[in-house]
Amino acid sequence: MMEIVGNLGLGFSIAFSLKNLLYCFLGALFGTLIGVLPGVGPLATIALLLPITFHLEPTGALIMLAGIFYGAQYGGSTTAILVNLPGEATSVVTAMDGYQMARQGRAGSALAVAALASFFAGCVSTLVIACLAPPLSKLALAFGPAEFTALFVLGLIAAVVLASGSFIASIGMVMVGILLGLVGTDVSTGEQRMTLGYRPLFDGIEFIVVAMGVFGIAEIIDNLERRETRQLPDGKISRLWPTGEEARVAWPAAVRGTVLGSVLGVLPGGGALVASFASYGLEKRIAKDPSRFGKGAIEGVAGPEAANNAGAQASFIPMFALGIPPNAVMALMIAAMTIHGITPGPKFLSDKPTLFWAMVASMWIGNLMLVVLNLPLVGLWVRLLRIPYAYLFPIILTFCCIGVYSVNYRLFDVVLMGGFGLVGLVLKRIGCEPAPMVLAFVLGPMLEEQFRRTLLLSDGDFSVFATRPLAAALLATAALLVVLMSFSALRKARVKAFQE
Amino acid sequence: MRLKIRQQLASGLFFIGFGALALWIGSDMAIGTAADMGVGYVPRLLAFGCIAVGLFQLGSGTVRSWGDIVAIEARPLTFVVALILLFTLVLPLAGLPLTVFLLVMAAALSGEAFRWTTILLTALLVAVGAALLFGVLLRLQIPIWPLGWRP
Repeated sequence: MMEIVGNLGLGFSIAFSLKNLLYCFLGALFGTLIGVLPGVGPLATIALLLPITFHLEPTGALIMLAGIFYGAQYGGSTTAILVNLPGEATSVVTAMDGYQMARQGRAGSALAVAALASFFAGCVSTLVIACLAPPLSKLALAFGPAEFTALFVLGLIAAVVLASGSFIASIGMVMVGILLGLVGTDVSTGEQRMTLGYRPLFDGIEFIVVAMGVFGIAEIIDNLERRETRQLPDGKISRLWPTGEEARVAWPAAVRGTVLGSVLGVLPGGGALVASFASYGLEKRIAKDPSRFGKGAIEGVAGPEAANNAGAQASFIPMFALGIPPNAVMALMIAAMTIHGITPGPKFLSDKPTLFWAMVASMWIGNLMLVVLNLPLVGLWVRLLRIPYAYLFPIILTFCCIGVYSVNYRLFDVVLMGGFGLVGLVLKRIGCEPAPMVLAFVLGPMLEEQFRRTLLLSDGDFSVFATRPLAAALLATAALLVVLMSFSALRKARVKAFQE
Repeated sequence: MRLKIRQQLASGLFFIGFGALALWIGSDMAIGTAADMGVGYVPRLLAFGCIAVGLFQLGSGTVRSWGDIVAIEARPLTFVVALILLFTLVLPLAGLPLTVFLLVMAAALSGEAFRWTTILLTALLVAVGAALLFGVLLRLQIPIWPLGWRP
């Protein structure tokens, strides 16, 4: 316990430098600013802002990234509440009652409750990270290649289970993602793979190109097509603070959501999403009058928002400790860290403790910044939401182009981004969710490396995956998920959960 | 122009096509054995996996009549891609601010409702802002002045 306090102290002493506070503030500000724009989800927001962090020193860059992450998350909730435009799956839950509150003129209290519930959840889950990540990474040091292979497989399967598209198609998307990730020079032999002898491909496909194409460009095209159905906020914000009655109902919901989020978020595969749905379900079940839900019940905002934030933050635990991104957002974060020469994983904590604890501390600061920033700025966000798309999308498009170009200064990357935008749009239309593909793109090369090493050590004997208990247990969990998914009962429940 | 496709049929064909493409492009890669994998071992495994998924999609699709019809509009799609190509063609010649200005102005042709004065102002602001942020503040090696000219 003392150790944790000491470590957190170390982290705060770094994060509280003026420069780092500024980075955190700017990250949260830009994250919210971009995240709140209609049609720009958290994934696109982070992808858009990544290039700015490339040119900072690692500590500052990571702290800014944490700020961007929370800003983007919060921006997503804001659009969900104000215009019923959930930028990502987790905000779908927030939109259900949050938007209804906004239509009743209670947008201010919905936004404030969302911010405060998220802040509370953030405080708790910062502590959870500080307590859980170190022992978990010690455990992970005992992992061999077989265990890592199994863990990667489990992570990918979990991502597939949570994707909103069809199960089989998502498995296909994972394979497509791994294949794309393998393009380029093979690390262990130095041979070219699937480059067709084309020089710009020798270093592989840049992750940011795929992410911006699939999330940024595809979303622009999508929005241009759906011109008629876009809506602008009309309700006026009469009061900012929730009434006493609202606060009394909201805070227990936020506590329950936080607990759910912290527990579920640690599991690989986008725990935040499950957590916010679970929290909404729980609130509805224990409410005295469940019929209020869907008509502006404040618990329906407070609970899921807390669960979402706690879950999102808890998902940093598997990322830091094991180096495994549990969802596409975390995959982006890992890609950004790799650019600064930091490889998250069991060794990250022991090699760079200052960096780790500074980041944990800045998560908490990032959460605080959001509350400080958002409550007074709600009016500004509303005005931003009213910007017509004709002026907005050229700016977003320009940022995408410059951002991708600035990674390697290659125009080829910009063209490739356009290509991925096209592919991403078509894939979404034919029922193939691109998020698992992007996750697999990042995990693929690591998975293959561990897989090859496992079989090299076992001399080609596949039974190691069954005989090493930990690897076998992880694979069994993955298999169980697949079997469960094949049962129509769960499949139907999932469809229902997404429609609700 | 609207392109109408049936979901399951299209995704099945996509996975089969992608798997076949990966097999073809990677046909020269060494497979090796499980104990000593060549660079082509895992990619081939995945390519066959893709094809299997595609076949499954086609198979289950016939039973449930190929799923829903989805429409893709050609205009916004080609428009956005054209803008991106414009960026790559103009940037080396004209430098960042001019390119950005041109891009934002060209975006006015998207069919969205707009006013000329506002779009002109937006284009100017974004052009200057981009030059300041990326050129001056972040010092990216992006050409700022046209034709490689330096002040």
